[in-house]
Amino acid sequence: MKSLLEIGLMIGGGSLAILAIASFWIPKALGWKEKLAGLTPLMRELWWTYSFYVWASHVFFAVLTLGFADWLMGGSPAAVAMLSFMGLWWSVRLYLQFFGFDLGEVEGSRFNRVAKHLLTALFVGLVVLFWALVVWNIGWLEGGGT
Amino acid sequence: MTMQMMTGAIEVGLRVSGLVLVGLCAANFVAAKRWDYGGSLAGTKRIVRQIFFVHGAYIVGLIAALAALCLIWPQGFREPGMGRLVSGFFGLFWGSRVLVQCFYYDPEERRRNRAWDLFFLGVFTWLSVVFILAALVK
Repeated sequence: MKSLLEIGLMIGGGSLAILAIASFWIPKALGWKEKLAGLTPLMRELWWTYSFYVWASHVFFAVLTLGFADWLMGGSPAAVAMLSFMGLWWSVRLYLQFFGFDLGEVEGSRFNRVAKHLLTALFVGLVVLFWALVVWNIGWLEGGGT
Repeated sequence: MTMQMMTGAIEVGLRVSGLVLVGLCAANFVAAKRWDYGGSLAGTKRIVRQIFFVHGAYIVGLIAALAALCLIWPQGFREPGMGRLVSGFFGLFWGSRVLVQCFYYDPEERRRNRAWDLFFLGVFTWLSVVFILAALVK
């Protein structure tokens, strides 16, 4: 189980890094510039500021997952707290993917459809990975705990 | 100042930061009303409104989690390895927010709302300094 989770962390971290890089295409793919044109300058500034900090959080998660796998699997309460936070973060995002966002307004090109399915798969994977690590760190899975 | 005093001061600083962050969470809701986020976004596509509020909610959630950590377990930010890394990340996070406030936000809007501007600048500067010290001071 331990090696499976270690592989999961590598794949999860790599996927988060790819997500962070691919995020640079999101504004273009979803036509943010045109859609935001009617907003006041303040709202536009807020929009980009929020987006930047959410993106920075994803970069941080990627760094954690790729660079601190041992710590994340160390069974400490801090690791459980961090993993629970990331698990909750992606669980909410997964919920929004199905029940929150009105994706009908997004252009239905083949590229966007593929991207949507890839994102959904990524969110499912991250939710499973981080909650599995929480359960493992608590000691509910074989070989887990401190 | 001895190292022990410095360590104690940083821990107090982190606890104060926890309270400041609670205030910042509340300020987000006040700001949303003050600048009528809902009304300002009314003419845009639904997906634009949804992304805006989702991003805002994630930021407030992150700040709330950080506030809880600062209040409950400030010494965690001083632990070697992960603790220092998290502190460093939030030092950069809040430091960059000072730069955003000074160089990105519309100067005219800032002038019109000088009290808010100074409040946010003070908060972000404080948080940045405390987390950078927590990350760097041995």
